[in-house]
Amino acid sequence: MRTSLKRVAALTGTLIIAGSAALLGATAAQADGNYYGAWTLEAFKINKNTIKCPGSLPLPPPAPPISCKGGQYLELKTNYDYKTNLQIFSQSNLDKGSFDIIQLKNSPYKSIVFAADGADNDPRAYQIKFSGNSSGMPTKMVIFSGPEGPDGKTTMVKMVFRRDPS
Amino acid sequence: MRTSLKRAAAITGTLIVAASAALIGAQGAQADGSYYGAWTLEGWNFGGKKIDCPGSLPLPPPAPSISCKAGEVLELKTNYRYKATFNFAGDNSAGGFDVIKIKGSKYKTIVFDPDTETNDPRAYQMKLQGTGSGAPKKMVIFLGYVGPNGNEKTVKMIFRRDAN
Repeated sequence: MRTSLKRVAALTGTLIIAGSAALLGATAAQADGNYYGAWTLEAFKINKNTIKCPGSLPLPPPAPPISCKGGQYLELKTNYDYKTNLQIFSQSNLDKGSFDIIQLKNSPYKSIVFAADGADNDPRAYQIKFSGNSSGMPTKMVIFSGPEGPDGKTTMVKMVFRRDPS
Repeated sequence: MRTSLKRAAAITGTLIVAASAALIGAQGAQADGSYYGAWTLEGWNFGGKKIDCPGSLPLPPPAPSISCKAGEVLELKTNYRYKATFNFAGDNSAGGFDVIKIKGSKYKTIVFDPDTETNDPRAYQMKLQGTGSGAPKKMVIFLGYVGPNGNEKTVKMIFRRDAN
């Protein structure tokens, strides 16, 4: 696996390793409420390649394909806890923890920071944006990161979620 | 380089690549002021192995040794901007930062967002020490990672506050 894929691997976590899907939180959560609720993973986007869930994206050997299963979710609760059956945020298969959302001064987007229960010494930060909120609450959430590889090229990895009907 | 070093490499950034030192960034800053100021990198600690700056730590080939120079400084400003004399995430030595307290976490989390790479925020834990007489004198920014044998290890950057 190429070095440039290392941050992708950090994002996709067990997904890359085990061929399952993966993922990835907010003081601000209670301020605007956009984040609350259960979100279902619809797709991964890696640069211009889209992997709809369920689906997979072949990678050059020896890297295994990146794939995601259907029915994977991320639940962001009003008490800043999260729950998920994705496995991205942490080094191990930890399915819950706490999160926060911040606005960094120099960024156009907010950042979401996850700290899995049992792995709070390994927080993970990503950017986050919402869309489809013309009628109120946003219906789509994208959590993304664009790490730069040693070759200077950026690999943009996005996780696209839709809000579950409540 | 072994998989276990990937997260460490994410911390060390150009340090591992270019054998220079590396790093890192708060609504909270203005709230308590503990973070403000210029901090000099004193050393690294990789899973219990300490590197005093200047110094180096050999790694199994093909990984280059990890080293740091003397006099490297990380400045955390009151306007949530940081500036470093050493490289953090490539050539990015300046950007925005924030410090948050995530529920359930023992320590605060510091998030850095380099100016030239704003779509790749980096989160670490941080602790301040030596607060007996007011502002803390020592700051540790750290991150856990899983070693090749599955054991969790911690990478720490140890700073001391510059005398003003």
